[in-house]
Amino acid sequence: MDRDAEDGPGVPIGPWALLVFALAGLGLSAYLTTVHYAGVAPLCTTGGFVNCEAVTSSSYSVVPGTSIPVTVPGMIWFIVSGALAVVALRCTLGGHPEPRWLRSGHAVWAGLGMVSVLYFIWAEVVQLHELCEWCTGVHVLVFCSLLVTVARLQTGAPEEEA
Amino acid sequence: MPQPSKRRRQELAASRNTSSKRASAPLPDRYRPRRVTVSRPWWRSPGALIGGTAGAVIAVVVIFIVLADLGSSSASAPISPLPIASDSVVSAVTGVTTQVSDTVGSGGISNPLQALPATAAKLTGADGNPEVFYLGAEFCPFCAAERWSVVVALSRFGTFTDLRLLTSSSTDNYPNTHTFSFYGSSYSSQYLDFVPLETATRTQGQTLQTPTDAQDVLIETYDTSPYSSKTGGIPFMDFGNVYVASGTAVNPQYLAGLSWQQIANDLSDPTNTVAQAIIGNANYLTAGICKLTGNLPASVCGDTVIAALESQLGS
Repeated sequence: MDRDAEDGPGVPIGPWALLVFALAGLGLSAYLTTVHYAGVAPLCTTGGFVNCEAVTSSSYSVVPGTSIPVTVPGMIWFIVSGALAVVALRCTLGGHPEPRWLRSGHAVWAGLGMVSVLYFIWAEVVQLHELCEWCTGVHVLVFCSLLVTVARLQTGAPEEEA
Repeated sequence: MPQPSKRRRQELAASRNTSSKRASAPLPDRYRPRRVTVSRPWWRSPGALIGGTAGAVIAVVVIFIVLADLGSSSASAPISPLPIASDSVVSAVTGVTTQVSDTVGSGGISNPLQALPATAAKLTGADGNPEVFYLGAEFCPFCAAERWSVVVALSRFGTFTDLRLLTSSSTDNYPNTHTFSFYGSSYSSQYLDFVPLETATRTQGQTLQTPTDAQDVLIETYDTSPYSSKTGGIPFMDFGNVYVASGTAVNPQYLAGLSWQQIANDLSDPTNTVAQAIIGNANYLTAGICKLTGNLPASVCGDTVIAALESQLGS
């Protein structure tokens, strides 16, 4: 059975971690999307530097030119990331080699997510001077996903190993 | 022809005798393939790419923090700008429908406008349009409540851009009342000029904007008895020196615990207490502005409810 090189024998930690990050991020994004459309304030700190309500009500909280909250693309990102993790897990647990594109594709996807996260951090820190703790949770999950995909990328796909 | 030496002939004979067993015989050490360990360059070591990625991300975030710090310490930007409100919040406030507005009517509130003497010089803006002057402060909870009505009313005559998200002081009455700040926003209209002045930030005592000499005269003349219980009281509005409004008809208590989006959404329900207060007050302000603009635009001032409220205003 193929295993991730970084995982050690028996447990494909990388794909599992990516799946957990994706599910957690999906939960956070879904929560923020729900409170947006429900028109209620998220449960968070208000006033001062940490003020998620100000961030989620700001002009940076929607996709530019639309009224779609940015949490919707966020949900899509986590769904795709989770799906890629599931593909990796199915291959690993089924004893099949991962497709060649999987690790590099997931790394590129994570990189795109990280670029978006950096944009939102710029908006929060530089433009708004407010920080949203729920959003920060999402950002950390994307960051962790990026690191795991980079680690998996570096170890190489099992089918490519001698 | 020279013959091989005796030693060489023995080696060849031994070689022929053992040729059939060569495949399984162990090779001499010097011919045995060896695993050669070639050290990877440091940048290809397992931790390097991960560490480099993490380091790059952290470095970018640090740059953002430094930029934010430089921006806030810049002399040209003494006050950190507040977040611009999202379109979903602004559109819900500026897009109150005629149906909802007419259903609310006065909202059960009494007329907040006081007529000034007809002898008062008309207040006009830079381009000659009637001027609506607003005096308030970001810490002030009553200003916070009043601004909702001001935005609803003025949006019927023009367009706000860059309305900023603001909560009133956390240490004053009705703490953290959600509202907008006019500081940093802009307003354009073909019917009137809107001149807002936020004198202090959310931190009481921290000056934000200073009145001009002309504004000081206006405040000392009309933001005082008998039009106001306190000279320089806020919020205060002057509608072209035809009407003034001192204080607010919107009880900040109605807004307690509500987010911007919640307040904005409430404005679509004419039976909601928040909508009745904000829109009712806004309808009176609208009626006063219609007096200034010669009942233009007709789509706003020709509305039966607005016209009825306008007829109630003193002159």
